[in-house]
Amino acid sequence: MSEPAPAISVADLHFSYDGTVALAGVSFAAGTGTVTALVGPNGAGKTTLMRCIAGLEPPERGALAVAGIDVVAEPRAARARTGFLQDFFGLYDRLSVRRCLDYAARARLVPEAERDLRVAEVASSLGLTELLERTPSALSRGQRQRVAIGTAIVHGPDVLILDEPAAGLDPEARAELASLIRALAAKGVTLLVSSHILAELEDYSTDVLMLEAGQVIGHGPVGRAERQIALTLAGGDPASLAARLSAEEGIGAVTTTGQELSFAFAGDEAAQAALLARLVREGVPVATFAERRSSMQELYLSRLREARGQGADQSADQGGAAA
Amino acid sequence: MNPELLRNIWLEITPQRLAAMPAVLFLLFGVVWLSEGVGELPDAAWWTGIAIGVVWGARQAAGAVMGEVAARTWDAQRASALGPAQMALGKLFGATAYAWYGVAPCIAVLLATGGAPADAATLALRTALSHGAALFASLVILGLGGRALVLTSLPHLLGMLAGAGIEYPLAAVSDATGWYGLALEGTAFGLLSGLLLWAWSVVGCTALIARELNVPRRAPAWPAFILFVAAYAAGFGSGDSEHGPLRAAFLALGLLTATTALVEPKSRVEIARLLAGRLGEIPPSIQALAATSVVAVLLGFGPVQAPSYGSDFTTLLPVAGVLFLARDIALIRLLSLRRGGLRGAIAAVVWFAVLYGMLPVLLASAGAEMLLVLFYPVPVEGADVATALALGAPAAQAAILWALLARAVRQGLAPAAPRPA
Repeated sequence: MSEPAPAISVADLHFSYDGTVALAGVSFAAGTGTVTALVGPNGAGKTTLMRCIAGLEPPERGALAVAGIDVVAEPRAARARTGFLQDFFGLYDRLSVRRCLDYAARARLVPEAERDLRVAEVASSLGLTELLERTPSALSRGQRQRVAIGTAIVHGPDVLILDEPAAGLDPEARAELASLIRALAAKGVTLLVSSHILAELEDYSTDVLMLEAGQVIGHGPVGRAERQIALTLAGGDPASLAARLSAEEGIGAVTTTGQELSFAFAGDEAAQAALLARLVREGVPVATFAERRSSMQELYLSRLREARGQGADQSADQGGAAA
Repeated sequence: MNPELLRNIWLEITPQRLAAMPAVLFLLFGVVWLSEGVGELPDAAWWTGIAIGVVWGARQAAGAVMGEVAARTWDAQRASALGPAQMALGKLFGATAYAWYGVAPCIAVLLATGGAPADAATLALRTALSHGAALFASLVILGLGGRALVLTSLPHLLGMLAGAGIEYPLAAVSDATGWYGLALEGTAFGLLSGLLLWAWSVVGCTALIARELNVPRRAPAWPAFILFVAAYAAGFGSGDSEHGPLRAAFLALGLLTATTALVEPKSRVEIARLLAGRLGEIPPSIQALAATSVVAVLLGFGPVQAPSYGSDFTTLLPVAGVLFLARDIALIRLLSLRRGGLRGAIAAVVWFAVLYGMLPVLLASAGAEMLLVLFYPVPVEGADVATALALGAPAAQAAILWALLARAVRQGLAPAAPRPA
């Protein structure tokens, strides 16, 4: 039996605003019910990528599909399966919250028979029931954001795209947003979320997609981030131990900070225990030995440095070739 | 019900406004009746209808999309599953619903107090035309990259102009020249033409919204409009001469090509696809130019040719005209690449003022009429140096500008180098 199509599928996506390349060959796929954190510096192409997936920007070339529907060939069908919340909320300030939700449901092809029920359900799940007859202009930023999320999910989308959803929210509203994202993912909604607050993304994301200068510099599950071992010596020479460890298979580059050594370790927990036992047996004065998973932020910064290093190398090569 | 129409009605027709319009109109017509007598009511109803329907209604239509852009709700609409026709009709009749709510009693009063049915029809037509033209113009400006709310003034003005009596000149031309030799009464012809223009404005709004929504264009609306313009214009040339219909069609299509080149959205990607031989989305101006070229060839080499040398309109004049149009399209696109759509169009108008106005006047006053072939399509015929110059000059200019455009497009689409550390 063939595997189901990914909820979001992007292949070799290119896009440029006049004179500026925003996306240069972006490819990735997101499975059903995943939460993909989209990270990258300002201008990396995050918002453009989201707008392309939402069908707001036509790509120069490349393929885009949402729930198996070609976004370019069938934009209306794809939009009916997608919810998109931009960093501004785009609400009608003169309509009541009920009418905002009702209009969003109608405009996303929710059948008439289900419409009132969907509006009531969404209002209930977002704590908007008491606010239904008020206008968005009379609500706080957090409440407006909930209304905007309501308009993006009232049609029960397969894919929800959130661009900087936590911007400007207080801590309580952020915690509520995280809970909501987890709840939607648990229901099978696939989410693509961009934010500059990586610690928060790490809290609920299953995957991370890193962009830099319109290109993917990293993509994978958050839980399988590279394992790091941190080791502290009670004495002895850290530099000689670092040299010895570097030569061993499965151990990455060792960095030394005072008496502390840290390195990427590819082995499993048994291999980790064996390494510790061997070091102790060899008389290495190990004071502490602990696994430390790279945080999304560390991984992101490391990938960013690598990408920029490669970029500088490529620029130097091109400069040399030109010369 | 159309969701966009319903949303607009929610916003436009509130209970207070529902009561306010009849109350104000009742007071207004009451004052006229009491002070001027019933005989003045048709005039009062007409001008009140124009004020509400054309002056105010066109503003509502012009702001139907520009207002959404300013309120940052436009992208949320574009991300919905609404279709282009739903959105065009919803905005056209929804944003202006309150204006129609005011115009309808004016038409009723006009008819009830002895006004001519033709006047009532004209009032309704002018209202509809002004709305269609204003929404269409606002979408054109949006396509050119104009997103500021202040730009609503321009489509509002154009809408009011369209509703100011566009049927009059059409009726006058029809009266003067006839239309395919048909004996049509001028006013009826003007109203019918206005109705057709309104219908095309709705089709145009739908097509431009389809573009905004990135919905693939399936119906060949633009080629159909090109054919309509050619056929409609040809009707006015029928009483002129044997080649009159083709000549009228050529002039109308040339004007359409130039106007379209100025106001069409200009995407670098679209031109890149065209230059790469992908003909799926040929820009409207190029389609219009192709139609103009066909008519030019018919005029030059078809069974009903334009007169030969010595006339103001010779066989090869249309060919030279087409070459100048090709040059102008490339120039407009080049300027737009560098300045953006709206500023590019404005810069192009300035360039054309120089190329078609100032420089030829200077050359003519300096006695260098021979050089006018560089700037104008001039009437020539026969295999001589003058003909070679008249065709060669615009052909060379067009070739150079298209080559420059191709280079600029390719440069702009080169991938960005990775950012150094």
